[in-house]
Amino acid sequence: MQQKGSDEEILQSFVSSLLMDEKEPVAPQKLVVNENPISQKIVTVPHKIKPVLSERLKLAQNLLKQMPKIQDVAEASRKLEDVKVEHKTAEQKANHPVENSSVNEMVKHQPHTINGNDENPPEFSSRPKIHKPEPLAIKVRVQPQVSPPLLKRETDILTPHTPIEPQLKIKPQVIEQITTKEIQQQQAKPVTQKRISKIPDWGRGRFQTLIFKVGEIKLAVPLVKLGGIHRLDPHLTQLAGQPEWYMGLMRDQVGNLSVIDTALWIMPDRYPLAKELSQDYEYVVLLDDTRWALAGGSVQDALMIREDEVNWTPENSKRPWLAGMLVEHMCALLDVDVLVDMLNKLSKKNNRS
Amino acid sequence: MLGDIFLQTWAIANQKGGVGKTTTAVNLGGLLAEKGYRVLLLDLDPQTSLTSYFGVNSDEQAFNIYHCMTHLEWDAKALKERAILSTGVEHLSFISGSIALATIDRQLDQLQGKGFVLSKMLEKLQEYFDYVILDCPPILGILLINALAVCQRLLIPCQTEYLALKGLERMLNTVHMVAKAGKSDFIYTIIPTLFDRRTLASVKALRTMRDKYPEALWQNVIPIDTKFRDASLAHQPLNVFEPETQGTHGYRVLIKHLLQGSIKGSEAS
Repeated sequence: MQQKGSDEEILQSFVSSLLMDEKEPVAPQKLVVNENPISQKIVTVPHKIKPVLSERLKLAQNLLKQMPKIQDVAEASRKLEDVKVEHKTAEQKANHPVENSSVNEMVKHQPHTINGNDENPPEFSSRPKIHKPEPLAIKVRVQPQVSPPLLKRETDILTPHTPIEPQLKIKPQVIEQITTKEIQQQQAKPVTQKRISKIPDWGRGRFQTLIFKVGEIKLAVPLVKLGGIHRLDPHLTQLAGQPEWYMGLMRDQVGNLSVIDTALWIMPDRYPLAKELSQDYEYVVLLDDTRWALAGGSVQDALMIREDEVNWTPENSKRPWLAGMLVEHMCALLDVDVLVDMLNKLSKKNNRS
Repeated sequence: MLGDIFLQTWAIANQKGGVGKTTTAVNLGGLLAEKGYRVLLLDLDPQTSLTSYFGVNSDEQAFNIYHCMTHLEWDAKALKERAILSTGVEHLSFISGSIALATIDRQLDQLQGKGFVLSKMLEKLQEYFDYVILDCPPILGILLINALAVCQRLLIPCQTEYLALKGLERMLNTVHMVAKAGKSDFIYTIIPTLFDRRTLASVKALRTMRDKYPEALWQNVIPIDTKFRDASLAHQPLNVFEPETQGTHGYRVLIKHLLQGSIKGSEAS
């Protein structure tokens, strides 16, 4: 069972690592990278470099664990500070400004820390000698423009009771040096390649929708934007010079409704199929308090939808009238405001020409 | 039919071989094409079964899915001209697999977001296809994860026999791992395949599946049908080769179910 558990962990870690890099981050995590309470700084760590950092931190923790004489990591850090003062050189100053990672510093000075003495560190005689190890944490230059912390999750690696995870096998190439420049470049880049979705106001939290069908295509209209439902009058008043998707005028109690051939609107490039679907129209769905109405085949249930159930359409989509997709219901959610706006503009343009 | 509005990607996957993945991919593709949808089949399996199905020798192809995934700078035009092949059936195209896919983990090793390579590639083809069907390899690796990361539907063909049930558990475990890693916006449906009503093993296995996975299981079956083999020899989907057989009927019922979007599948989460 133990083995099975670890296999699953390995697989989960593999799957997560593949899906992690470009996942939309909830919020960047904050990582404390300097143990000195005076100069302690919190930096924003981009999502992409988090796994690398985490591996480095784990390695640093494991190295600390391997030191037999140091039980108290806090004490180690104090000793470290003493040693730092002794060994600070001009070169170190240049390479390790105040903001530099203390993990990096700490690992560099571990041999000194053990005995507080440069010479003959006997504890290391049985272990491989550490020759100027590669930095295990990144050098992070804190930029003035770094936004204040958004998330109160901080990892202080020098907390004595920090659970030390099992030794990770880290490939040599993983322990490459990440330079300040690289970090800055990564910070400058957008954390994710995904396009940002714009969620309409009515889409926040929970909202109700009405589902209607066009052929087998299911479309959802948010109830707050639904102006009403009427049976389609088979005798629409045709208007000359209108686009193909404009079915005609239909009278209701208030006046004339402009009825849109929904199938042709949503798939103008699939004319034969759209025309076939339009044979089944029975109802019209009024858009908000406008005089625009979408023709539909049948009206189905009203559904309560949660914001997170919608795959929201990214901004700059080619179909701006499409708010998103209700994956669970295999249904397209309409952005009525955008749709009405488009129809108004197209109508004006058409009338001018 | 969301494929009418935006590109829909269906992944056909199971970590057990010989359960009917390629047959399902080809026949669903054939039926969608018959309905007028523009369908692209992707052979993601290094064994290149789908490519062979259409009588193409993957070794003779200058460009295949391996090149598409390792040349993300190719635009839609380049992809169409170089890699997309015709199946001989109207509206049905495919991209050949390659044995080189077995090494793609290494090729993509240094790449950021290597789980989303396929997603980036397919984004370029949105204008040209309504449905993309992914014939996945039976191994949990970078290709399968790419497929799960991009798909809106996961179809898990499962042979109605005892050993296949074990493979099904493994596959579902993978689905849950992917969901745990944050990708849960797809629906999965288990498709009982190669069902032979004359054998007790088939009947028992189907019963077990119905008991164990009542939500995710499609309630019909794809029956065993020798015509599937004949259709593959003719390099045609069964609905083109023999429109009126049991097998074609089975897939017609399935495609109707999938297109109606009636949720008899389960969400990955």
